[in-house]
Amino acid sequence: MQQGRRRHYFVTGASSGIGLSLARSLAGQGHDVTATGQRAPADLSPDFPDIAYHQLDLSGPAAPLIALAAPADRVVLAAGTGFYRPLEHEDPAALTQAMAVNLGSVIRLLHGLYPTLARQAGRVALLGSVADKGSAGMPVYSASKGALAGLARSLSAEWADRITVRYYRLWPTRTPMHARAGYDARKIDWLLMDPDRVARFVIDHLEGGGRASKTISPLTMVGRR
Amino acid sequence: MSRWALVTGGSAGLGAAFVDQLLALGYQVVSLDRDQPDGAPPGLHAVQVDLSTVAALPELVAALDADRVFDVVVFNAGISAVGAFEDIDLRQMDAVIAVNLLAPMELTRLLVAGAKLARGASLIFVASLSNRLSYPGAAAYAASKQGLEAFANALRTASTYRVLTVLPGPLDTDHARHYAPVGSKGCKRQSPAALASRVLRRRHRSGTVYGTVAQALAGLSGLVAPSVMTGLMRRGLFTKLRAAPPVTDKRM
Repeated sequence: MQQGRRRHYFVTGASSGIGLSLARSLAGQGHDVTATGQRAPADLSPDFPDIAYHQLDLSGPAAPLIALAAPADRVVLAAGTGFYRPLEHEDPAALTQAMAVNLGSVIRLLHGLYPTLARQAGRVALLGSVADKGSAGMPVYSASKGALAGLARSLSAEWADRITVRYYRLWPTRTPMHARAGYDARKIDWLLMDPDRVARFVIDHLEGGGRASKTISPLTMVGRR
Repeated sequence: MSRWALVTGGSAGLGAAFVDQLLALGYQVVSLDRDQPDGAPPGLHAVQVDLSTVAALPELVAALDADRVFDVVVFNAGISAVGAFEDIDLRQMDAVIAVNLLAPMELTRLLVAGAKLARGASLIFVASLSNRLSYPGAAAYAASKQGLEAFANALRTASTYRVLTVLPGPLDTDHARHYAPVGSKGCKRQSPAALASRVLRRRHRSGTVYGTVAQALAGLSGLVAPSVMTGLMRRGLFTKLRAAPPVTDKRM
């Protein structure tokens, strides 16, 4: 699959986790990559690939984001945030922030990118979660991912003849998100998927035919690189 | 001692049906709506509020009587924006997400954190049958309603409240007529009174409530064969919606 033509990818959430794995993998395959993340460039890991990286808060104005992403014909939105805590301990600012990053920024970006994506027969991957059906202890995150799944399903049908929109429903993956969310993932470490393998799967799958929604579980990974 | 219920969007459509029936069941009802209700029946306490301004909700909840707790809360208020996604104004889609998803989330948070819910209170979230069938031509609406169902499910597994998710199909309301494609006959619309009574009869049990048996079967088909049902929605609905200019909330 590495023989495919060179593409321009736009990746969010690239400073850590699956986004970082995506950026590394895509750069390694020789694609052009424009990436955003929440870390300052100086704080990136030493092995961060040599790509265009911009520190951006996705809950901020969408115009700079759209300008950065416009040349891309592949868009992979991996940024996500949220906390593992019951609603009564939720902070209203954190609720707003999680919904803005996980849902609002996706709506704005796809709305703004429509003309260029349609012109280039673009492909869009939205990274979701098995929490999209509602997981105890994470009501806000669940709501944001449920909404993302709903958006993806309807939008992929609307754009079916012009733009491919895929939603990836991920089982838990070994990323720093769990610790940031306040969840001790050590007890489910045996279950966690490797972010590099998840990233490679998404990149390959996005180029093929298939359904609008794809669940990625440890079983999906069996027998793959 | 009287029992209290809270209904969002209680001035028209399904919300008004919920208000009527809760009053008939003997509840004192607080209705949050941007419009005044048609009448002023005893027991109804109408509060005028624009739910698209989520930041105004803390003040609103703080203004409720300190010792009042609700036995039933119906998150019913909703708006939509239909047409091709790329043709709909972003502000309209923001309003859809705010009213349909962010407002119920923030309101639930305020009620829970402020101890405004009675023990075992019923929280009723009005989502949509589109959560099973998809809704090309109303992608932001579909997102808001599927997010609401996920939120309700997360609460259900983690709380002592009864949490009901309602998945209505087409209703015989002004709201549904406003967003229907041009030329829609609307002969199979369910009466809002029938749905409200079906939901309220089940308010003591957590679960999912469909509008009719036929809609429940359609919903199950959407779970078993999502691509097929999405394709049907695309051909049957989206092709009509995209052919006309977007239709959005009248006052946003």
